[in-house]
Amino acid sequence: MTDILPFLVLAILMVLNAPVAYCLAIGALVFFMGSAGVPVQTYVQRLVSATESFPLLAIPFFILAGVVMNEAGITGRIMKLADTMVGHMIGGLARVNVLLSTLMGGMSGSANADAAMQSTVLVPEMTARGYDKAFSAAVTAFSAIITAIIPPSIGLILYGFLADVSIGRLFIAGLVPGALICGLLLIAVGRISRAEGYPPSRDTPASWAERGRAALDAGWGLLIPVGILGGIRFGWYTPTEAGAIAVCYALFIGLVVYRALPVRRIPAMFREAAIATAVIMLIICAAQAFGFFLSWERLPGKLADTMLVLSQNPYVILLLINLLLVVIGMILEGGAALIILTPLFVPVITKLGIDPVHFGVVMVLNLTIAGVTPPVGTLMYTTCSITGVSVGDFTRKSLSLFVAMMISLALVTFVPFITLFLPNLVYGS
Amino acid sequence: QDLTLRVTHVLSTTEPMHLASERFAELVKERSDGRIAVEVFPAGQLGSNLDMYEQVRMGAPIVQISDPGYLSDYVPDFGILNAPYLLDEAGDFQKLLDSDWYKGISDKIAADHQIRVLTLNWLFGGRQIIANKPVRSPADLQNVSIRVPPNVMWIETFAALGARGETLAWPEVYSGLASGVVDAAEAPLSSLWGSKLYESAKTVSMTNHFIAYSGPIINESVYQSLDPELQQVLVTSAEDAGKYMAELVTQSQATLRADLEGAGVTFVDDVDMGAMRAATEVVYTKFPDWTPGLHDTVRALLDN
Amino acid sequence: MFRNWEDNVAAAALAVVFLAVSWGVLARYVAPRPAVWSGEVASLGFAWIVFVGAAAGARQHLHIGVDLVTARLPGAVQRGIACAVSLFLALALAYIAWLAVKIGIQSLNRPTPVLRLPSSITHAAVFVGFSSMAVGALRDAITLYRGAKS
Ligand code: NA
Ligand code: NA
Repeated sequence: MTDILPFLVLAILMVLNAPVAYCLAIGALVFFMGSAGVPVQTYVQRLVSATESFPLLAIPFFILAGVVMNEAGITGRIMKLADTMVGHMIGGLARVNVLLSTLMGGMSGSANADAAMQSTVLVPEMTARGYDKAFSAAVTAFSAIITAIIPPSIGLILYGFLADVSIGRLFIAGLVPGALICGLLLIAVGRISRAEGYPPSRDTPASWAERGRAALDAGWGLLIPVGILGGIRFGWYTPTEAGAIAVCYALFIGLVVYRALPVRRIPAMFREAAIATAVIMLIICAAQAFGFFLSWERLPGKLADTMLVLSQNPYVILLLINLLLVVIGMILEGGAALIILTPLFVPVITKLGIDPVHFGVVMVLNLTIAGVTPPVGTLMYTTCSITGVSVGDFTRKSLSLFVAMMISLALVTFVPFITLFLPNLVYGS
Repeated sequence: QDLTLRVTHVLSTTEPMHLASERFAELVKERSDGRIAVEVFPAGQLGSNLDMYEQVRMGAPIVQISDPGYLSDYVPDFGILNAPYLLDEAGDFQKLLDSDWYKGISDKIAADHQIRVLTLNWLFGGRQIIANKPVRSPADLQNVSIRVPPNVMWIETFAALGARGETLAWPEVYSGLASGVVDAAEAPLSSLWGSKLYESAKTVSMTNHFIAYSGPIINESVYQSLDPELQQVLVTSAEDAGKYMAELVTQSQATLRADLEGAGVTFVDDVDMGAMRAATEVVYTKFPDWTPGLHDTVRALLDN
Repeated sequence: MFRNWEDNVAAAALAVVFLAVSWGVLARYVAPRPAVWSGEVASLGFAWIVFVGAAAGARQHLHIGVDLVTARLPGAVQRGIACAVSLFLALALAYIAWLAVKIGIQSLNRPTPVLRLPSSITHAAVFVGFSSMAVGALRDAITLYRGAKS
């Protein structure tokens, strides 16, 4: 009974439309109030544990950076540049959305931060140009998955640490799958845009002179990824600290260079970023508390054991693990699931001769996709809460994008060459 | 069956600490005739070290592998067990554990803070410095930025050695060392190997600046709810598992060294221990909460 | 200033976290000793951003639920359910706030690793945030109840 009750409370509250963060928080609370012998007040400790994670600080920083770039007139200029490049194509801005996440992937390890930034920056622009808002939100959330796969990646660092696998190899392994997802999403977005008749945003392609002027105009903003990547590369700061530096840099451009940012707007920007962060983080915190209940009862482990009884064939097991992860990912925050499941699955897959680097990319990709699937999906909530789109609309508009992601996942899972050939080239096999 | 205990630690399943935890679980089950069931939760599955220590203190049926540094938050004198260059060789630690002084501080933390220390003889290993240059004396550490855990003992020790201690979170150490946010890091050989730090820094100096011990702790009320016979089972099983861990760690040093050398690491053995010890002597004066004369008491026990 | 105090507290916490981390980077190059405290201050501030900011978000009804089932019910039933759920949430959130007090008192003597501040600073954030969220849920329940009656 104690195994079931937290699930039951979670499910009932969710059906009754209580906020998801509260559903998870109260489901976990029921476990602590039960008879496991854990002092009930330590529940609060599990609730706050995610706020003690330094890498998660990247979330408020990149949200704040997005807000500042908006207000400082940086985003507008980059948008103009992108528009001169692909604006004449059908569904131009949706393509920009995907490409931008791929570029952002090179500077941010957090898919959430990317989704948050583009929800504030790109979605209003897309809506203004006649795109369906729910579709824009879905493209933003799905393309953010690319950010989590292209290095630097918080998920891959976490996996490498837990599974005792070379992080250098993992990083290089993420490059090709990231590009693959980008390509498949671009195809999906293009098809939808043709079907829905999303217009090009300009009548004729821009001249190269016009593109050059736009690039110069956006130059200060374009230096942000260069500064972030370069700074991390040369060891001036860690990926988390890079978030704070990006804020400093954006403030400098807005206040000193463009002089578009009134000082009295700064408190409002901090308020906006703090609340957006809190809404996302409360779900992660509650999921962390709920994850304690799952670990305590060894539920993920019991599932894994059952699986090995079912088959000893690596491909069958990879398929089973993927299906299991999709299900677990629906009810558990991806990062929490990664922390709980990595130590359980890695012994299983190494026994079957599966390369742990390959498996790491599969696992991080799968659990990042979990972020866009209802009922519990952090990326989905990030974009929905910022854009004001309902979960139902988001889900309806994301079906073909989901198909593209499933094709990517299947390719990455069953064609190990995609993940392994680059790291084997660099490091030797 | 009287009780189910969950043993938790934050290391991976290949580490000696995990093997020792499993040995502890087997011994307790066997010696208690199955009256106490023990399950091991590795890799921080239930939470971070600090969080699990707090779960124990507040009464959860958990056994957590703790280091003296945490215990010193409640009884400051425990801190000296973690101090730099305290031991000439790892085996000397047993002299402290056998002393009345140690019995005094363990009784105090049990009575005042609900923490029963079963033993502290789980040898974690000597901590070494990994960098791209050899460290033979404090002169080699001047203005070198080194990653330290957010802990006063580490911060003071590396400040005394002239280094710049940066408190990076552990998950950022790999990338921090790779990109050069820090020039150096420090850990036992097993962790240097496990975390792949040798991919970015190629020189390990055998500084042995801390020889780290840890051991299982349990909530005092949970402990007192058991009859004396079962209490004895917990204590002796913990001690035997600790001896097993010490053997594993000692044996694995040579293998780890060979593995690291295979990965291109150079070892520096001619560290000037006298100079390092002299430079860190000042650390022993940085803890005003210690009982006056503590350093002399402990030195007397060790030199005896 | 005081009407939406949660917004201002969360924003101030974000400013503290931002300044602490930025100074942590800068100190690496300009200060004689590294800012070993910056990570700890950032972590304490993060809790205040999250839990007090969550209360600010609750005031603006930003925490999303799954309305796949309730949206299909008649309006009056929807309001009834929403009222009952809000009342239940008010109780549960208040209980969590009380648990934060309990663990906060037990952690007063537990110092943070570097600055040796009481760890209860984090628990205080949970208390403040969840108290405010509980009051908000109660306010929602009352509004829904009055709306149903009139
Ligand atoms: Na995007
Ligand atoms: Na999900």
